[in-house]
Amino acid sequence: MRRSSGLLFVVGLIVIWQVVGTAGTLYYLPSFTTVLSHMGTLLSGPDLTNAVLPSAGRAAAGYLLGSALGLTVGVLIGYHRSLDPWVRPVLEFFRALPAPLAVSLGLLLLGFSTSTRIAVIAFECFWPVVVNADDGARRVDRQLLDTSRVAQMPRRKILLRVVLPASLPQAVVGLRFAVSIALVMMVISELIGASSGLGYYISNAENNFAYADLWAAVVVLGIIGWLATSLFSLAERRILFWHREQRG
Amino acid sequence: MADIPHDGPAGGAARPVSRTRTALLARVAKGAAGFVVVVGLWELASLGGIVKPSAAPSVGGFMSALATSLHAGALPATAATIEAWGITVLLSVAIGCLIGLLTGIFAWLNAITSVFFDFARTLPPIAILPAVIVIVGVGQSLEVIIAITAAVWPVLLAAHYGVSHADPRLIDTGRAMQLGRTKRLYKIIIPSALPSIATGMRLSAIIALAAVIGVELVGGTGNGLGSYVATATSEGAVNQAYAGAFIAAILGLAITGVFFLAERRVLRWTSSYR
Repeated sequence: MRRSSGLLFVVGLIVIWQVVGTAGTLYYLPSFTTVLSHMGTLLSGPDLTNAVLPSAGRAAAGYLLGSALGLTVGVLIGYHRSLDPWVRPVLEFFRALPAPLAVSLGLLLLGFSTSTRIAVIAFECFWPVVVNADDGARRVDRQLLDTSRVAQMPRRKILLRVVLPASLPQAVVGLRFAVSIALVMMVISELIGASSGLGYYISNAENNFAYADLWAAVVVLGIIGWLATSLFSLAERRILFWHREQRG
Repeated sequence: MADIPHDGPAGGAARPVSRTRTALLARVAKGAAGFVVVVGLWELASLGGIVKPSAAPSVGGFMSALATSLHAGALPATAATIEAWGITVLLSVAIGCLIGLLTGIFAWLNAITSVFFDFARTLPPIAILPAVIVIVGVGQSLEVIIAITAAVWPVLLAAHYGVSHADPRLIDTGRAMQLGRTKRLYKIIIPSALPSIATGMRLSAIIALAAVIGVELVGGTGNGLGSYVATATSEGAVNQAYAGAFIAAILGLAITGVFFLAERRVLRWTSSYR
């Protein structure tokens, strides 16, 4: 019942879109079916491999790179608690930098290239993850740590099998936030001086007044965002299922 | 809807933080030392030629650029950004609280809107920028509209969560005391939701700043810190770009700090919420 009324609402919105679009009252809004067909072209034509997939790939690469680094560094900092007062203010400073500006600075520093874009995405994904991983690692139950030390576990094993899993519930907060950051950074890095990708496709469509293409790309971006978030939720549920059982 | 993320800047201590003045000074000194190290490494990089002067300023160049930009265009740009940010946060909090409260209280409303909201909030707000430009043109309304679509979600989710997870015992107590529906709402339910809303507001404020600056950067609105950095970047005025970014980061820190303190206030007033 819940789901169906929600879906009905969405269908209703689409119907309104279709009606307004076909009537042509808003010159910038083509009908839903027009946008749908342009979306079909976008997803089946050459633009799939020229724009959609590279964009998604860059976002994914940046996200994975930034999160992996963030998780590693964060857990290490949190485990060695004495490091925290030295390092944390610097982390908070870079985290406070509004993410879009990193694109400009990255372009200045590294020039216009794919690796720059991935680097910038990774850079901005790093900060929320490292801060939350640090918080998570700092709050690991001391009993767990003491038990592992008594059992004479090697340091690496302690980190990998005790600290990291225990930090995950808090780290996941940052990881989830980083998903949206990765997507936003991907779009912004492609709106500024790019020659390929969905962002470039969108700004191109804007310049050519190709509104159907514009909306089609926006919907595709929405779908990518939804897919990314859903994938993340699935992964999160898998990885944290033991934590939920504990919490009840 | 999803849980509210509970994260925070350097405030959540794992063990009690010593509050003596020397301990505090020691913490500040260590933090400052950390910064000094980073700045030192940066200076080494620019001296050693790893980082070219055309790509990033040296520390000295950065300092002088900061001084000049504070005299030149940076202050009005900062003011413009703050203004757009303020409007965004006010509207986002108002809209988010309203919708979150309503969907939290009325289950049927939640059922109708949840599918749409779950999809809408995953859309990168910048994606609709070209579409919105066509509708409202370039200007402050552009910034505010797009920033609202980004910043409304944390508050909306927080308000919804806070209201729907209000302690049922408190509500029952209210019923037992014969409080009417409206009284129960604003005497029990809304105050129970406040801690969650406070967290949501902090997240919303941060997202709003990033979104406003993002639109300024990309949308060519002409004023604001984002435009300042964009102009500097396209002119290759490296020092200026870094100075502008630095100011933006300080602004971000200030906002985070203020909202974090406010959130702590609200959380302290409410008993053991976490």
